[in-house]
Amino acid sequence: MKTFKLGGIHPPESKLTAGMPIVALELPRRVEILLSQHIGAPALACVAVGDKVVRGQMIASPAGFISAPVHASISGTVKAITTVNLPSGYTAPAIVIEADDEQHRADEIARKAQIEADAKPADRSISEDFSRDTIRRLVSEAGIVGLGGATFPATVKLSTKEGAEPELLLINACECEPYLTCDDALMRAYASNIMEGIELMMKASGVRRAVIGIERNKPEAIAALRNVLDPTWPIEICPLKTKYPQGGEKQLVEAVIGRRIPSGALPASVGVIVNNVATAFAVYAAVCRGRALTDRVITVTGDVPNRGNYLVAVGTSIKEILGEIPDDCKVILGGPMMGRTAATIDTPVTKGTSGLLVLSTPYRREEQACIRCAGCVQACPMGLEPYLLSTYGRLRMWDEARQALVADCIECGSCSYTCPSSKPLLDYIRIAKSTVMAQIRAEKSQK
Amino acid sequence: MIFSPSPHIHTGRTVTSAMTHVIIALLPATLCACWYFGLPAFEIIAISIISCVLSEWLISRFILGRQRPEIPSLTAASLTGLLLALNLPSSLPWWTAVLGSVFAVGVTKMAFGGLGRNIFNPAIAGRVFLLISFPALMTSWPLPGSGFCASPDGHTGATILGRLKTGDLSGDMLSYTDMLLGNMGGSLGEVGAIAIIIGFIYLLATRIITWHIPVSIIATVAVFDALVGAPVGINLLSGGLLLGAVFMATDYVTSPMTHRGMIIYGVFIGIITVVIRNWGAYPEGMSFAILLGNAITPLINIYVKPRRFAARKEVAA
Repeated sequence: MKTFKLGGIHPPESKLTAGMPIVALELPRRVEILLSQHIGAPALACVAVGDKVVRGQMIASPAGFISAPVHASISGTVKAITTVNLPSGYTAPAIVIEADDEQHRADEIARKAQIEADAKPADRSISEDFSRDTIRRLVSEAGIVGLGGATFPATVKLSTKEGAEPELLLINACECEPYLTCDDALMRAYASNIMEGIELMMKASGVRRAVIGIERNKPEAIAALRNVLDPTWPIEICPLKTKYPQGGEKQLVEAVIGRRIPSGALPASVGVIVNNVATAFAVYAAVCRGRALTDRVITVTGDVPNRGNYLVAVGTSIKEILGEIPDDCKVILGGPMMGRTAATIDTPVTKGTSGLLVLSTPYRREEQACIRCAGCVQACPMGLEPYLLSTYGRLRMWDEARQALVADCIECGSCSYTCPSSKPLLDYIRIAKSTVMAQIRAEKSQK
Repeated sequence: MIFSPSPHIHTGRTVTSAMTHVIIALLPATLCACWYFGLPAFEIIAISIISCVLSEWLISRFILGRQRPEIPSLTAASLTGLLLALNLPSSLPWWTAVLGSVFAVGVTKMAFGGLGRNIFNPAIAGRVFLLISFPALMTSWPLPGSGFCASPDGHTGATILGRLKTGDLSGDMLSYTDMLLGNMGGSLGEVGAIAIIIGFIYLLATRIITWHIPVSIIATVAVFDALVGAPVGINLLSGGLLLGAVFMATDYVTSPMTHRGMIIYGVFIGIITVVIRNWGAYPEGMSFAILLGNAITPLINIYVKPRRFAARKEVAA
């Protein structure tokens, strides 16, 4: 069974919501839609307060090449263009829309019809005549970003140079984070549409071959994909041994094709583009169904009563989804290994929100002396020495940290997870890494 | 709402649990020692553990001024006590064991800053301290009795390695069965190869240690001994080799951090052991070899780096 070679851990999978179908949450009465839902320049609002908007209408346009438009996820009136809370505790500009009753009901009915239509096998004839440029334009207009969490605008990755196309499109279906099951649920329900999305992506990028990398702890999803896979298609399913952080871009590329991306380089340097499986589904919806990215599937899991995989409108308040959460809990956006805790749940779901995990027993224990057990060194998937990097970070020894390759750290958290002394290794490594990265950027801009 | 950086889950493994696993892994060897050497063995073990834990607690309470006893350090101290006892002959007077414990914990560990900061393995340093200070007491080995209540006044004699050294091969040589089961003279814990191997398997199964250090030491000794024509079987199964390779050289604090480093360290210890056993003044070289290995560990950590994910091009962010 294929996997990456260096380090890695196998935390309890805790996929509490595995096997649960995707349930569409009712469209909210009020949404806060952030202008910056992606990596790159924030979108520019193109509606004004008081404007009537309909679901799927573009309300902010991209500001540059690395940017993405933003669409209304409910129909109604623009109430404000203001700053709203981010989970981090900071604030950011957003467009606030309040629903308009009549239109709201119509949207709800249309959405149900869409979901039913999606459940049928994809109609492959719709997209057959679409050219490379058409697909790219549709993907771009739909505001699709990488849905694995990095939220990199999808068109940028698909815009390959003619004649210099990468050889492989790698679909990331690992979902290696414990607890999360949204990609799993999506694959079980919409395997055929995902395949169609993958074909569209191949067409748009000019890549001839695609491989779906998926961990073998999702047998139903694997079976569903196999079931719809036509052997004549240049798409391959590659089951991988369950190991964290296999969904990391570098680890996944190594696991599937055995090539290692050099440090500081992109997957294109080894002839690969990597896209999340949920992104493939979004591409299908955009191109074949003309839908903008206004909804996404998220996993609600952990110590909450209403666990499940939900289809949620972007901009829905997290508070509305979770209800009241006791003060001694952690609410994590994403998985337990790399997800970020929310300082407030009075904040909207974004395109990059893959899960809401509530943990009532935070692990952080009292820190003990390092006993040099080398557990962190053995766990590090990048072949670094976390104990050393962490010490450099703590002692503010930036040059030494840089020499010890702190910039290669992917912040997967395997070291902190493993440490028997409960040392917050990654916390200090992050400090060192961000300082060193700032140094590197400063040097580059001087040149 | 609790706000903290990722990751948000943890293995649950702690320093205390790791130390406890090692103590559990030592149980077969401990029982073996009590079986063959009787009550004196039990006394030495109890005295060593108690004096190590007491030294640790007194020093951290009255010299370092820590109000609360720290459970991980105390567990580590009791492990040190047990390991030290298993490296002593059962005929040793009780005060010698106390002295060894105070040296092991007080000088080797606490003087360097306590748990995790020592350069040398405390138990080994304690044993070597006693060996150099009281050579006669430390090299008189009771022959094992049979059954739990073996006579404390039983015969003493040289170990098989001692006899090899002096060329005294008269009388019965030990059979491999005796060596495997531990029916021979020696320190408490070094008799009974099978008991130690059971402990080794337990440590591997619980992932407390990896195979790199023990296997590289044992393989090096076997190959080197075969090359110089020394009896490989006897060298592997007798003396402190197995105990040292499995339990002492693998001490987290004093061994290297990378797998390649561990192999270099193991090979180094193996070579030094064979050199001392064959050409040195002592019949037994494991302790000295491990201390020398500890001494080069920082050097190994500086020069032997883990295999990196990718060869580094100049940083392109």
